[in-house]
Amino acid sequence: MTAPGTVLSVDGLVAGYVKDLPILDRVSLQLTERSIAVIIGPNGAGKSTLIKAVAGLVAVSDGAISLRGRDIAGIRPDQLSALGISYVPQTENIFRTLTVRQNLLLVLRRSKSGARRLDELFGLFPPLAEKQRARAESLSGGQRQMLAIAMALAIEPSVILMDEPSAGLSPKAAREVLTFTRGLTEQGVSILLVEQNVKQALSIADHCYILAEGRNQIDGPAEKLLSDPVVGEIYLGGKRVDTP
Amino acid sequence: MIQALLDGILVGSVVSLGAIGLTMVMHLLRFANFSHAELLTIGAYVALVFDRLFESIVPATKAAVGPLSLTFALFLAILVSMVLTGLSAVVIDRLVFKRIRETAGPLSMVFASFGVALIVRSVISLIFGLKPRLYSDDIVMAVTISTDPHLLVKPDQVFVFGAAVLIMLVLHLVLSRTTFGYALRAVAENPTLAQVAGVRLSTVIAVTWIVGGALAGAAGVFHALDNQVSPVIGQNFVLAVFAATIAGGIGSVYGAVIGGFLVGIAFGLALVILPPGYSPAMPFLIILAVLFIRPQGIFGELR
Repeated sequence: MTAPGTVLSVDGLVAGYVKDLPILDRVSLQLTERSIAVIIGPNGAGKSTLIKAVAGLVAVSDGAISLRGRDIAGIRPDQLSALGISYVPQTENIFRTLTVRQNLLLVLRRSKSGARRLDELFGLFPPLAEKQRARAESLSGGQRQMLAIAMALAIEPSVILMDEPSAGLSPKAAREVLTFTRGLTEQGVSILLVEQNVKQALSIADHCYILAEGRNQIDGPAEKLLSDPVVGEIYLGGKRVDTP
Repeated sequence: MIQALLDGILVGSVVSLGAIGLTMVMHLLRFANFSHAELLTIGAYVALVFDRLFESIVPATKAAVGPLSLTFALFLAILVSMVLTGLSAVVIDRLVFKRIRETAGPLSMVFASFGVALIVRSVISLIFGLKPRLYSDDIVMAVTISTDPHLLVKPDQVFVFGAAVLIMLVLHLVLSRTTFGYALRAVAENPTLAQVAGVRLSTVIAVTWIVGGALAGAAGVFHALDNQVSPVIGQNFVLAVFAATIAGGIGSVYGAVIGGFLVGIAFGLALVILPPGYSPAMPFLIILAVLFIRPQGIFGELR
């Protein structure tokens, strides 16, 4: 049963890249309206696999994924895009050989108000407007991430799945990207975020899920976990706390 | 020498058309399709069948177009041939390559492509026989276009060159000016991201086969127009088309065009410079030279 206000719900998800060798073992989470849920955990915990499974890029062998109560497990990635789910991969998230404008037009090609949306996106990201005729490969790391986010926003999504948007960026650019991400919730977007930059991610998120070895470990309000001594010890480099 | 260069450019336009489809498929599906050149043979024979059909249904279409040996019937047959050759490429993919890529690796696809090439060639030989045929028995003489240096060119060659360049120009406009072209390029660069961006992979793969097949079909007719229709057109062209693809850089349509002209010119000049019989070695030499100097090809990118 999906709780009221839930946009995206994952329930008992089993998924992996190879048949009969699941990476995710009955993982569950819920993303509520206009909020950010961050997934953290050690390397190999299955964070990216989880987000890819929701994006339709990893085969789901059991469990359910639903968008506003509609089962979307097993739906092709291009169909998810039409349902209002955008995915921003960690790397290789833009088409290098296309221009900035062509990258955006590709995503907008089925939109009836494509020209208006393109203007809006260039208004939102002025550096992209200045470089709209340049090949995307000529952009800086921060600008590439900006373009990737603009492509995700182009379809006016209700949910954005983001896989480590701050990876490879300078601390300043990473802060800006995460602050911008927080701002998107005010436009009605709900965000499922995988992030290694735990402290900053928890500071902008509403809810946090901690995964380890493909399973749910702890979850709770981000603010609470940020001050939790166990989480602090394991993920934020704090002092060791003996737990019963 | 200049005459050989001119002939090479004309041959190059046909090779380019064949290489464009091959480079698109190789880049998209990551396998060397040795059966691609057989699509030239399919194209040439489909045009032959429909040429005769149109002539028998509407005898007026037997009339030649201007100074060309090309008749109105053959002109229409070329268009039909492009469509049907494109569709036959999709059918071959669905029957053979799609099944293999879902269960096996690229090497299996390469071996399967050898099998497809042999089957296509054998079936065509079985249906039409091994004897070469002509679209037209009329002889069209070459025209002198320059006296110093003395240069001769057949009107059909000019038509073939013009048509090939026109087709390439249309393809360029589609790839660079339409969102459908962006989708084709996006899938070739990053299929996973393209899907995330809302592109349906199976549609793009089918369209790539259709475009590649249609261009190969046109190349087959254009070659046969100035030579003969025979079951070994593909066999004769396979190395040239591969050399053009590798020289241009796998995945680059513009590279395939340049590579095609490079191979055509090399063929033409080899006839003048090298002893007779050495010209068929030119594609090997071009492939070797490219692999030594710039392994990714002229417009290709290192992976």
